Amino acid sequence: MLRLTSIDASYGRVQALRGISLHVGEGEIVTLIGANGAGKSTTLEVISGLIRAGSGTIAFDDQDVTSWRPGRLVRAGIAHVPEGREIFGSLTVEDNLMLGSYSRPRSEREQIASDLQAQYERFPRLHERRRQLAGSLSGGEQQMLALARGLMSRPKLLMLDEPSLGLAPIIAQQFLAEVQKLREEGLTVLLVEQNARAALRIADRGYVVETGRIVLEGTARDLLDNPEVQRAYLGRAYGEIWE
Amino acid sequence: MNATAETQPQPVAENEALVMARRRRAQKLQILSLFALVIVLPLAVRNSYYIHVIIFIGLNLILATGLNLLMGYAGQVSLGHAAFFGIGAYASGILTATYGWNAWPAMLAALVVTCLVAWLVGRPTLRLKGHYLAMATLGVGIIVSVVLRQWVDLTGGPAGMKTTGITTFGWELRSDADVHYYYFVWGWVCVLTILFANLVESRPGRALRALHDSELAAQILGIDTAAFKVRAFVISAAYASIAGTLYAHSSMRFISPTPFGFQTSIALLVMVVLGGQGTLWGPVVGAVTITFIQEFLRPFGEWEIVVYGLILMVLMVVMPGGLARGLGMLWHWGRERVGRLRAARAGGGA
Repeated sequence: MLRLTSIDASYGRVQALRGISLHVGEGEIVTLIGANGAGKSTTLEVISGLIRAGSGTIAFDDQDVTSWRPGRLVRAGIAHVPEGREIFGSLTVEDNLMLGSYSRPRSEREQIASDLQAQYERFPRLHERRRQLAGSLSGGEQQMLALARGLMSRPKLLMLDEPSLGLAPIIAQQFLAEVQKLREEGLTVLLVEQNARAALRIADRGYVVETGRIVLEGTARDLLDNPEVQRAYLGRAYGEIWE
Repeated sequence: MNATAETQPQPVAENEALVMARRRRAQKLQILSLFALVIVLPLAVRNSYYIHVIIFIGLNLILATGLNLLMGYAGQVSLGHAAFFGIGAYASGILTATYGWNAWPAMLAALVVTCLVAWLVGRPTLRLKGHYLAMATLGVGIIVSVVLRQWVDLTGGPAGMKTTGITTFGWELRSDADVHYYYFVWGWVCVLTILFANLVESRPGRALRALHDSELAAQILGIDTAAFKVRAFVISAAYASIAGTLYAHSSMRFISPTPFGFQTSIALLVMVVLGGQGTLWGPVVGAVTITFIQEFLRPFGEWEIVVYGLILMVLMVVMPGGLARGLGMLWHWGRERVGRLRAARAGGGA
């Protein structure tokens, strides 16, 4: 469904990605794990068209989308839930959700209205607070809102950037359970997480990113068992704390 | 997400819903009462000097409303907005006085010229992150001011130029009846305020506010943030241009470069910040306050700019959200106090 082939990208003179190649199959949950600044978020930003790839190609649904702009990619079915949630704090919850459908044509108005109801059914808390300013929500609710806003574009591929960042462990777990449910509904997920253990638990496959390169890839099971991954990212001694 | 958290926030949400609906209704009422005030005011204020001041408040209000769209909604700053005011005034002034055009097509031509200049400045600078627009508009302000002073053949130079009145289907706004001109300017104010209120509540308005909150998220959702900022900038310049044309054909029938300089750009900035960026009433409060301050400070000349600086400093400390928000908060606080006092008294009586 999504395939990146030797992608380079840089911020000014700083090269952030060096030949990233990865693929995500339909219906999979694939996770990118790695340390801060390894290039995980940059990879997502390249896919959603926020940053231009210096070289390499991106294919989505058998189309070359390398030079597409964000709006066109959203219409093609890629939703990106950014790191830090980035909700629109001075707008109401409902306005936030409606903006999620921004790139859909007006002719879909009725469809959009029913999608809005679907999101409210999925997250009753958002329905309760639909007229509240989004900035007044708690961290967990904001993450729900960011996810629901992403879903309002009716994506085929959902990219989540550090969704558990700043959330209480139990809320983070509930969130990831929600992601699994979405996959069962047919969504494909590309998940970036620092909490590698939690991510690999729900993922099918994973890639380990280090200084802009992919250094390891495999099934989630293999990565969880890999001694190198255990030492560097699962921090065995800390493992118990995360449970 | 335990039981207490689940039950507790519900009444808050209910309240918020009511508050939002009430606020929409209140906003409509407020605009209507502004109209009413505008219609009745000349009956109460007979002094032509005050009428003149109120006309100026109207012009400043148009300018500040445009700038508010740029600053409060698109999150960008223009340091040369007086230049667009000047282009509007001089373009229609020259077309009517020198080339004998009617004021209405001249207004339209001035509008087109201003928008074009704004677009040419905004398009390259707003693609960049950061406050490049502020720098570029500062430059535009200086250039326009120099052109107005130096291109004597066209603009009359520092001495200024005579202009004509506005004629509509053979009916001219007379120069000796300020009240006519008052209604004309404030009619424009009302139309442009309604336009602004609708724009902000519309789908593009929502997108604009969204990009003010998080540019990244707005882009991700497919909002072309650069294009939106350019549009907001062009619209704010268009407001300035209309104000300029209205100024050029005022009962003075005269324009000179002075009101279109840096000082005015800063005064406009102060109006928006003082009143409260991103609110409907901020520009109104700002325009009224600053216009009166300008009138009072007229004898002190250059001290004006010092006073602006002081106002900005005090405001940032005391009411960072601007006067409109600050006064609103004060009002709610007062009402709550009174309500609580009444409740306490009733409780004490029983």
